[in-house]
Amino acid sequence: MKNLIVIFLVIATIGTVNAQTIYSTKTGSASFFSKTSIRDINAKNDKVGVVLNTATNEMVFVVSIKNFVFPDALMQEHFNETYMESDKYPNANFSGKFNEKIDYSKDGVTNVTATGKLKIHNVEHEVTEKGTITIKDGKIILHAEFTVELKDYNIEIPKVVFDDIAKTILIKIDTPLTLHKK
Amino acid sequence: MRNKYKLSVLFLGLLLGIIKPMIAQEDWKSLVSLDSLNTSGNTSATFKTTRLINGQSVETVKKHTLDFRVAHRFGNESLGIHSLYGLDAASDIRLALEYGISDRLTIGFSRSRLAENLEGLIKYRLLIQKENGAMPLSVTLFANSVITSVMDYTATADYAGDYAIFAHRMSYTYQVLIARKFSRIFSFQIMPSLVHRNFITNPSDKNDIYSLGAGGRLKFSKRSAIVVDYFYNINPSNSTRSAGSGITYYNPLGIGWEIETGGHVFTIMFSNAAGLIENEFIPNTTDSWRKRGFKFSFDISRNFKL
Repeated sequence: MKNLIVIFLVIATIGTVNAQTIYSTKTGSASFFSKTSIRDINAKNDKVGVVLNTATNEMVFVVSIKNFVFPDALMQEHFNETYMESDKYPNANFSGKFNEKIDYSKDGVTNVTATGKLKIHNVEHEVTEKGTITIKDGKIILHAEFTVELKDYNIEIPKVVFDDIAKTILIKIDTPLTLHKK
Repeated sequence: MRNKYKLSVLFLGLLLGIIKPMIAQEDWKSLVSLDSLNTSGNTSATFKTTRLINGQSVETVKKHTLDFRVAHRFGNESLGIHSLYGLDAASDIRLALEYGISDRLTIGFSRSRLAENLEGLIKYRLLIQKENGAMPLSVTLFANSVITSVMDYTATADYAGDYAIFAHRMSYTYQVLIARKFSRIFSFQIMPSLVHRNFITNPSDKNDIYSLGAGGRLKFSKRSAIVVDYFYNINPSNSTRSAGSGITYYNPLGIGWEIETGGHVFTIMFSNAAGLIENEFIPNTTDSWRKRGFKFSFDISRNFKL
């Protein structure tokens, strides 16, 4: 009977995620750039939420669309209301996994690729993007640059638009993660 | 019996062993939720531009942005085919420059064709509605002062004229604009207003006209909306004049279609008011919708980031 209870306890504990493997941030940064001959547009979001499970190499990014800050407030309003429809679709997400084995215990920079589901404007696509992962002093810094085609995510640009917007948008991600505290 | 008990403990243990990590797996993924990321939470775009149809909206011009506005109001539809239902006439034309000193404070200047009114205006966004409900309303204060610069033809041998004293040319509007964005597509606003005129032509008229305005915007596609506004005059000049004094005053009602293109906002509308500024359309609307006294009108707003 005693043995059984021990077995019971062991089984019940196995598989619970060790908190030591969860890294997160709520202040990651995501920026985007739209370049055309007429106008350059850029915006930055310094409140990106990221969580990484180093045990499984899985990660989740949550981006609140309304937290993108533009130099021009009117542009920000158009971005939210007309293009991203952030009242209807308040966030963009990435949920995926690193394809490489990563030694999180060693300091250094590693080139990695991540594959997963990228959801923007309520349209989801399976993507694989390149990036780097930097490990230093117990921090994990994820860095990536990739492009997004607006039409892939049903983001319409009106024909008569006076603010010229590129069809392909460059996105930069820079998120230092720290060990998640409960 | 004992075996059965052993088995059930084992089974329960296995079950927990399987379920627990499944729950935990989902758990860590929801450690960052959208709610924990949102910060400012200000409701944006209660209205698409700083005007409804006739009246002001709670919106102010964005910081360091110049709003160039052109409005044209044609003549009464009742003028008929020989005036192309009013399109040959111009009741009023207004050109305005309005500038956002900050996201909350706007100053502006305009000139209207009607009575050659020169207007200086100031608008201050006092409260901004919050998405989390902490602030349910937006409140904006509006004031203008207007110089009626039209030539004075009223002078005669015995009378120095209506505008013999410069102060007679001055009039003022004060408004408290209170709005709420009820949903992504619907916003509503009320506008307690006071128009003060230093000079009135008919001695039985009141210098101060109190009015309560209401208006709303209903979005029906990504870029267009139906906008309506109405002002109920509490003490119109009719109320103080003796019957048969010649002119009947009406409450101004406007209805329009607003189209936003990114940088421009076009509004095409119908209104029974002739004037395009509060100092005219609140106290001086003398046409009635019922007598085909409505006029086609358009308003274009173009924003320049300075």
